[in-house]
Amino acid sequence: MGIKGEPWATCPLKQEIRVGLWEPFVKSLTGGRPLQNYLTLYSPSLMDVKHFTDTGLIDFDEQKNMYRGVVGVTYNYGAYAKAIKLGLGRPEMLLPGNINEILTQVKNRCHKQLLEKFPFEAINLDYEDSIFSGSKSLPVSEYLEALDKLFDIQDKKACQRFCLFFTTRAEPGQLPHKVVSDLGQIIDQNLLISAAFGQAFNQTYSVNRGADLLDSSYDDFATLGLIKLIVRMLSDRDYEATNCSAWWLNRDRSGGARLLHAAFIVEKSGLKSPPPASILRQYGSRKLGYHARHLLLYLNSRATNGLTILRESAHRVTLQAKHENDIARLLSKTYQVEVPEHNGK
Amino acid sequence: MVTEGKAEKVPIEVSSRILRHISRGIYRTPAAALKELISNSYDARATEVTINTGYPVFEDITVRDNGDGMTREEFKRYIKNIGFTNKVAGDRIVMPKGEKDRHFIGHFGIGLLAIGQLAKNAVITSKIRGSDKGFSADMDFEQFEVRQEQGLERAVVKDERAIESQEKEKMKQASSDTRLPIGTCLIRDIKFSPEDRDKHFTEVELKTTRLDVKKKLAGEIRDEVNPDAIKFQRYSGSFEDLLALLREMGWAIKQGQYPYELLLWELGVYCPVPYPEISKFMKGEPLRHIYELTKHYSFSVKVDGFILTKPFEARFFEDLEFPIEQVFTWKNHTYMTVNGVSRKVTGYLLYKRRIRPRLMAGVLVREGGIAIGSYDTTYLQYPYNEGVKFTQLTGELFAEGLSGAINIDRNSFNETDDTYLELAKWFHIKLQTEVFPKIKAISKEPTAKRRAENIKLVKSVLSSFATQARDPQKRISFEKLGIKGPLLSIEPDRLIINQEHPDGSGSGSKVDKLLFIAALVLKGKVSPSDVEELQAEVEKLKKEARKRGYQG
Repeated sequence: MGIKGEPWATCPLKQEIRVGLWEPFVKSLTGGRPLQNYLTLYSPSLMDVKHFTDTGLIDFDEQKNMYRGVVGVTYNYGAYAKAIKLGLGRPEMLLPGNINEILTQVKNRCHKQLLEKFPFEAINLDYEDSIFSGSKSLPVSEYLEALDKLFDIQDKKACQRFCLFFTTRAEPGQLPHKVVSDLGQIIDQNLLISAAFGQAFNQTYSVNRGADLLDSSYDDFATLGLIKLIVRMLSDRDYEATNCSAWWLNRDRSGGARLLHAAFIVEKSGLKSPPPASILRQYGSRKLGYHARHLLLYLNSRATNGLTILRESAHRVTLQAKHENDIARLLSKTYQVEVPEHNGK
Repeated sequence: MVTEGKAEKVPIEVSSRILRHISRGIYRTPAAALKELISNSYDARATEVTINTGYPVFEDITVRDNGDGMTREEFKRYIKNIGFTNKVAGDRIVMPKGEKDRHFIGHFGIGLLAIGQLAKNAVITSKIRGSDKGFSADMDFEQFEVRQEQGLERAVVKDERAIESQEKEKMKQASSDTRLPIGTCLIRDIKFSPEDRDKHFTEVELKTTRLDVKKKLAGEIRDEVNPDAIKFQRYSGSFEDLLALLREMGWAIKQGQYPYELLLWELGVYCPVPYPEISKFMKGEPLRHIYELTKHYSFSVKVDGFILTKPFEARFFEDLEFPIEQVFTWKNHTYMTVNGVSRKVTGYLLYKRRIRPRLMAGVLVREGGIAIGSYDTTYLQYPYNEGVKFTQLTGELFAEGLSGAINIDRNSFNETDDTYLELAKWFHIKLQTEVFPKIKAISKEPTAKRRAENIKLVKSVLSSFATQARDPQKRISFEKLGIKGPLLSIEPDRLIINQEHPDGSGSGSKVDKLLFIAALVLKGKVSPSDVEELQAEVEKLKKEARKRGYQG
């Protein structure tokens, strides 16, 4: 019998990302000690929280029945109720609503409560849709606006070092044409300005232009574009990415969604950034070359390790065998009295 | 008197409307209804109960326990005779080895009605140890109808007349059976895997939560009164945080602004759950025996991830501003003897000048570990008015043999019951002879102490002043010269202050005035006899001023 539970909770590919991408980043940040606090988009199954608890990266306070330092935001009240039901206990804080709105709208009823918990040592924005989507009436995506706000608050609360996980749907149809062309241009401009970047780019991808990379490997093109975007936004707050990586999860058997999972270790930069101006308003037109240094990190890692792409069609069976027991164990970690499986419901 | 006509024997009957009313809900609050389900788990020898209320939407409420479970036949017998039970409150429940035995707390056999008060539909699933078969029962309570609201199904109570007309129809068709059907139940067997043979549990899933219950718990009634109120209020990560919130919110809690938090607090009060592991309950402390009382129940209740304890915060005991000033404890006192068997009570009262949360002021009576009602600020109808002191005490009485005095809602006592009255009498004597005299003495202590300090201060200041005024032979002396005696008098060697005079008593508000007058006397500006005269003159002028409208 397969594991019972919501599809996103039982997905072995997602578990591989928890184990292979997120866990090493948190460990490298904390040296293995539990996180002081962790902001996550709390999907009802809370598998990330349970996995980090299992690996000692989140403290579970047994006396209080509470995930210490965990702050979760659920997308609606139904998910909120479910998250409480499925956990081993309660997170230190759980807020219902849209994280983007909570972060950016001062009048949002949860804004103040969330603000009090900043700065975070690790932030997991595991979005399920594209960060470039959102309301058409806004000049920029609400996701990017919220991300910018998040870095701003981290900065204002004097955060020196943190871990950021960021997920977005990024299959070709999800990236607007303007974004794709801008990304190509940005890469080309960086290639012109930084010789080191150009060399690493060529060595990694065996092409010399952004447009060529798009033609030869969309996945690489989009990955580099997203990393570039985040690095640039971080630099507006004098942060730099001292480590970054990205994995793809392709749901080629169920709907075709392609989810790009990026991970960063972010530190306060010793360098002064160029004069702040909003990337949100001037997308793709400034700070040329400034970020090339940070991107070299990624390019070197990409050249050494390749680009990890997990496909349902190719990897599901193997990863199912690898993670099945762990997933079942994590799912069973609830505070509820256990009711054995039966044929009645 | 002459008897005329034929004698007739008429049966005394109860209207079905009354029975229906009872079946629809006898519990004052959702917490009281949930308490009934928890009591059932306790009586079924469960050691763990978990409840999911579905907060903040309260769509489905689930109660699970690891108790003995039921067979299909046992369950059928139960639902066909709600109100009939072999259980007698107080009977011993033999627990597995290593755990202390319990006593039954339910005895009306109407726990199932609690479900009918909370939801239209419920699914009960249960399994006993040593079998791979269990059952699942889908229950549907007839007194409700389902309405759609914001895309969700909600149950509301049907119109009384509609129910009655349906019932008349049924009566026509029915045989001589006098029982009143209140719903239907579809039971089916379910199969478990062989490795789960030794597992045992009962799960109650309440579906289609009754609209009023949902509204009450979600605070919608509050929001309807004041639509501008913040709908999502402070989050509590642990039961400890929740208790802090209740303490800080004060009156807002009593006014129903935090219904969900209040529900949890009430469950913490009601259930036979342990006291928190805080110092006052630890070894060597006066409340240790109370802690032991609940610890031996081996019963844990988790609601929405909160581990319920008795609702005490460590801060309650470590409050520097309002410390616990007195602890009264009684261990196994006999409050009544029936047929040579004594009925015992164990309890305590704590005296604290400010009790927070306010809900905790009063005394809580427990029978078999379960609270009956809430904290009672009348102290079981104590016949004398002790004013503010009623709000400065909190405590619990664990009494034996009270089951007969409990009303059917298990939330109040029949106040004319002999046992209850005997317990009240015992308690009132304790209040009269031990508690209130001691509190009165304690409450005077700080005033006497403060006044002594003020007198010391006045002496010190005036002695220093006398020295500076080159009148070192003048000692300052407080003496008792009677309430009508002069405030100040001068002897060759000393200035005497009459400490029985209202202005010489050392009262904080009079110290400055006393120092000023005494300084004038020491300086020779006025004589002691002038002081009285001047005071009288000032009083007269003040009266005149008031007549002319001066309000200061």
